[in-house]
Amino acid sequence: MTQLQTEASLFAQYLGAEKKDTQLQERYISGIELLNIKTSNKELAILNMLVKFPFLLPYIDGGFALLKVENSIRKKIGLMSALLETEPAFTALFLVEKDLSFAAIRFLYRGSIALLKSIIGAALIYLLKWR
Amino acid sequence: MEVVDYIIVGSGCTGAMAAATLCANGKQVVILDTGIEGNPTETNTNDFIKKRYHDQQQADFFLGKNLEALQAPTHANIPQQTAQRSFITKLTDTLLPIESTHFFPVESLALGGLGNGWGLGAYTFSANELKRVGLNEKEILNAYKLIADRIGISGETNDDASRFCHNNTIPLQPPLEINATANSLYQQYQKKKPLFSAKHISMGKPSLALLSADKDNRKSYAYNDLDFYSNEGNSAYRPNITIETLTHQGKLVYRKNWLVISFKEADYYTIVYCLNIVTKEKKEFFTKKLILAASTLSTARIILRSFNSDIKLPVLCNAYTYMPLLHWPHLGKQNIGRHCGLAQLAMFYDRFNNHEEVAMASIYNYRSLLNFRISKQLPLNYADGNKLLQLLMPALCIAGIFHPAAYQPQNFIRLHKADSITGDLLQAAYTYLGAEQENIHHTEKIYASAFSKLQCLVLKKMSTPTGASIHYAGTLPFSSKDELFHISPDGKLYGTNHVFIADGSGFSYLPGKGLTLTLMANAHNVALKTMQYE
Ligand SMILES: Cc1cc2nc3c(=O)[nH]c(=O)nc-3n(C[C@H](O)[C@H](O)[C@H](O)COP(=O)(O)OP(=O)(O)OC[C@H]3O[C@@H](n4cnc5c(N)ncnc54)[C@H](O)[C@@H]3O)c2cc1C
Repeated sequence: MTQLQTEASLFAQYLGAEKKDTQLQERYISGIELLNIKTSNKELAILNMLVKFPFLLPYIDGGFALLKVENSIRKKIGLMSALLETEPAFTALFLVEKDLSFAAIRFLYRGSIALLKSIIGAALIYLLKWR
Repeated sequence: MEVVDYIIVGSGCTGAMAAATLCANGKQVVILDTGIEGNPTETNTNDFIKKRYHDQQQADFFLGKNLEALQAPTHANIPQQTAQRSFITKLTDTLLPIESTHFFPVESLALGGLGNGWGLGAYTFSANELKRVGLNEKEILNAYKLIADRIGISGETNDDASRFCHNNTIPLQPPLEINATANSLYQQYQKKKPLFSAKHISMGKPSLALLSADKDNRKSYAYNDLDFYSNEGNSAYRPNITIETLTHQGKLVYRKNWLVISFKEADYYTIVYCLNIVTKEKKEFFTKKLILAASTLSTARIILRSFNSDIKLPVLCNAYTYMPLLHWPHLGKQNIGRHCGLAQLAMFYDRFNNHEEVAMASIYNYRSLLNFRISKQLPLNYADGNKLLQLLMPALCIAGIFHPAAYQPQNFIRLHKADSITGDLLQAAYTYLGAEQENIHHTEKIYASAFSKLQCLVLKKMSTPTGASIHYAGTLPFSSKDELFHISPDGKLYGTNHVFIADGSGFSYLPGKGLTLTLMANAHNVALKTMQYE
């Protein structure tokens, strides 16, 4: 597997898709080319670390988002997210098909957990000097 | 040498209306235009939801074949551009260069101009507003009626916003249905009306140049929610409809690829100097009467070049505040039904209760722009962010507030010699200071408090970069005195015999609401008046 394929399957799985969706991988790879997303050596090292320890991904992704770090990792996950959003198979992840109960509670709960992950991620980024 | 009766520069809302009026009176009309056109994306369904669930090629449609929607915005003030609309601003950076540190106007060189993207909000100005703008109330009221009939406007005749939207002075089609979330806000407003009227705030359905009933060859709006991508059945009024109809009827000659550089008046005709944007050929056209409808800033460029002047001209632009709102009772509500991405509600803050310094807010409830544009802005990881957005989108509204704009000494444009295709560039300065800035803050506070009464959480207050309202005017103020760089009440440019201005250049005040219906009404009147100069 190439580096880009490895990333693609990491991000796909992280966002709720099949790890081995080859079509998605291909679209991701051509997207990286079209958007001309370049990865620095430091970002590559971080990516390799995330491939080894995928459970870190939501924290590091959230940390970069919180710190407003514009880097290729966020751009790459953003690309994968947009690709998933425009695949019929994943539409239900983005639209609400019927009224959800306790939506406000779910929203607050999920929001707080996600924010907590961002804060932990930001601390890790500082600690590991990944900024 | 062919001398045509009328040359109109530009095919936007104003050029199209001037052309329609002249053609209706049997005049020989040529439009000169850069005329860039888009390539409509082929699509097998015009329904947003069907597309989302069934179209395997939807990424090309929503993101663009070259992922245009994911590229950095080409312009500071069009953050939500879709691939289908990118032609609207194409080539403006090279052919209409601007030098400014903080004024980023959006201009167009397209067939139909900015009218390809306008949000269709069609509002009349009140007597007090028209007076400050410098327009004759009686003439404009007549023109409003004619334009409304020509383009088709739908709206409510009997709610609190009616008097600000149109004051029942124009023919209207029935109002469009509003989305569920907007309806919920509307109900909240109805319940708490006295609180709002005490603060001089009115809310209602907007008037839109969007058909709720078939008209001519155009179809009524189908609530398919692809408003930022296509114009199904031509239900939305776009100026290209007028241009194509008139050309098809053989009443109008439309010449594209011509960038008008300047003009010079001879004894019996005017010479129009042009550059072909494809072949780079230079060419002169000859006309008895020249009507400039190239939009406020572009018209100023043409005039400054023609007079070889580097004088500072004044300029007006509405300040624009953007407020994302969370209408929390609608979190997690079903959102796969009929929907419309255009303005759902219109709110008006009439500070002095005299309909002169009104600041309007348009409320939108987007769905078709998809979630990815927002998820990248959240301070959260994408996986959780997407799940949250799924719940949030049905409840998310965006309020865009337009603040009125009067002349301020620090705001100007000036044409500089420079190394560009046209040999110059426009220097621009625009800032909101002092009392104007205080008024903006005051209005923002009033609106924030009003939104909270509608069960909305104001997520952010974003003062957009200057120019973001996409409402520009006032570079050549109307004047009854014969002075250079001013326009007569008839629309004639002083210092010329046969050059007329049909766009917003003469407007000496910009009310805080959509100006385009008034631009079109004025363009019609200018066209009528040019005929009296025969
Ligand atoms: C996203 C968006 C939403 C909007 N929403 C609203 C709304 O809801 N309500 C509202 O009232 N207004 C709205 N507006 C503003 C509205 O679009 C403009 O006020 C209106 O379209 C201006 O029309 P115009 O004819 O003056 O100029 P333009 O539309 O800019 O047309 C100018 C024309 O001149 C041509 N041209 C320019 N320079 C030259 C040259 N040198 N030589 C040859 N041709 C030239 C261009 O090709 C174009 O055809 C919106 C605008 C945008 C972009």
